[in-house]
Amino acid sequence: MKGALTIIAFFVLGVMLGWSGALPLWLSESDFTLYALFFLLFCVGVSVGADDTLRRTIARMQPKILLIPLATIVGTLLGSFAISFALDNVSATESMAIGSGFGYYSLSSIFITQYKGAELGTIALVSNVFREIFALLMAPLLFKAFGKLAPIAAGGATTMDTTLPVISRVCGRDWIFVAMLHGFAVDLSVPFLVTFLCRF
Amino acid sequence: MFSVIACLLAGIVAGHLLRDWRHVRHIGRLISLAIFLLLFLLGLSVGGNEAILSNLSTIGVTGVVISLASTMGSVLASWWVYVRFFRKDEA
Repeated sequence: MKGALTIIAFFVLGVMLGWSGALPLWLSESDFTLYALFFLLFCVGVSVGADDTLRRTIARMQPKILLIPLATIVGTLLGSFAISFALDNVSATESMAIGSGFGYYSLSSIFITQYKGAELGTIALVSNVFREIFALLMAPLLFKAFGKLAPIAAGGATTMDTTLPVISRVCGRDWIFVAMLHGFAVDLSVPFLVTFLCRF
Repeated sequence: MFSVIACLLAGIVAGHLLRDWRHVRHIGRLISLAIFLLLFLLGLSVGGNEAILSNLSTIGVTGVVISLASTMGSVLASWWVYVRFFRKDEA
């Protein structure tokens, strides 16, 4: 939650400075943001490659556990596709690209800004911050109504960090491992799905 | 899309090679810095764009609606997977 607040603070600071005209706009329109994005991706890759605990957990998992991140991804794509027909300001693939942030608001909103512009990027930021908040607050309710996997599915890409404590409390400690693996798999799918869907 | 995959893969290989170097765990701080910078720049272009500013409430509502549809899609799919593949293990 602290992470989300810091990020929103930086975003709001940017909005105020952009609105007041204190900083030149070309800063945000130059190739500089693209290189910063590539740098960010490289760093995300390094953090994945350097993490040994992750590789060890993957080595001893049951294959059917992969059905859970798969369900999260397919469910989100179907849900965001279906709702796009009720919205007149986003296309079906744009809606699916926004959904494919899975709560990973930083990376997904940056990508969508790069490929689709600041308006859609802002929708993605709101949408994915909201998903994290929803997953945190609704975990107990989702657990009761839709079974043990529901809090994990709602958490999306955040189940390996921000929503992990809530999931372990609601679902039980046995599900921590599943939640981490789920978060990792969904996390990795974000750059691929978002850039792919932004091509349309 | 190719450059996205290339950056990610190059990072994973570099991270794997550097995994025993003790400073590699500080990579999280670099990630945070890059994210803060990029979100700040997104804010900057939103603040300088009249069309977006005058539309902020529509943008917010659209974001929340897509979020709810996505999350409930995932929840329902996971419910099906739970009933079909996992519940019998726990009986």
